[in-house]
Amino acid sequence: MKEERDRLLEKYYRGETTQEEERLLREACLAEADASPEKAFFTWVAGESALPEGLESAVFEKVDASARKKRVRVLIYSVTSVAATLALMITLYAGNLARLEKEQEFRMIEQTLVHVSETLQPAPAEPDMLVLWVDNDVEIIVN
Amino acid sequence: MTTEEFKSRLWPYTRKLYPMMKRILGSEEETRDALQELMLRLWNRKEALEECLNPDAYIFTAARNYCFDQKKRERRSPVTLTGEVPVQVAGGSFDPDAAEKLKHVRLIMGSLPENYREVLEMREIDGLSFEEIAELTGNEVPYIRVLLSRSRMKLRNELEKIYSYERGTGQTA
Repeated sequence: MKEERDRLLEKYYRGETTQEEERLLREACLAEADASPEKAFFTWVAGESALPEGLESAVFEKVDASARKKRVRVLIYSVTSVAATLALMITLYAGNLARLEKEQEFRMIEQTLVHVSETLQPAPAEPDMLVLWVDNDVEIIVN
Repeated sequence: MTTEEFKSRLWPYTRKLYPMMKRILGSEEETRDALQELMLRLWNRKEALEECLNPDAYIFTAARNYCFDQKKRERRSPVTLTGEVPVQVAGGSFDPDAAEKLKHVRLIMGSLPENYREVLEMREIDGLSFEEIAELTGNEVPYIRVLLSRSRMKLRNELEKIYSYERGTGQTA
């Protein structure tokens, strides 16, 4: 154990250790009962690299708020688009309905006027005709 | 990309970005606000992020630039590691001896040359790979290994000096 620690320390001071070896070395030095420069340094490092409580949720607060705002914006746009489409359809339908009603009214008035006109001024009666002769080639009619 | 996909993809970065951004901005509250704003910006540019060939560099560079812009806007003096910052001791109880040791580390870190300190912080606190550090600093990986080696040894030697002095004056280290 001690040999391994010493071997890692040598590599460490040559700047040749990997991050995993440095982690093992830190653990070994911090577990020692005796004071050493390494133990003091690694204790200080642990304090400096410690993260405060609740950092993860705090750090992404603005990202969450921005994503929420975007979702709300998209929802508002969608609802507005649907409402606008509906309003347009209703307007077109109502306009069309009004036009149809007017045409119907016009036809009724027209028919009424024709009827009144016919009543007031009956159509001239067909003149009496006297048919004297009809065959395949000749028709003789007298008005 | 849904918000859940975005979160699961970006959360591992956040774990690395938080300490780095806190070092630049100083306070926990400002760092939290800056991270929120950064995540929102990345969310708004998620299409670019998906198409990006090197998202690690893109995200880390965006974070650093945002923090430096923020500092510039606020016109505040940068927070130094040598300042008197309350020391938190693991476990919650206050141990004056442990607090003293952490204070020594902080002071030595503050006294390191900037390029040493930067590389050391990126590797040890932010947990960045050599390639990520290379992207951010513009240095080659072998040079970063050299800087890291030197900064670690310098830190150890300085701490050893303090411990030797304390042992010499009868204090228990």
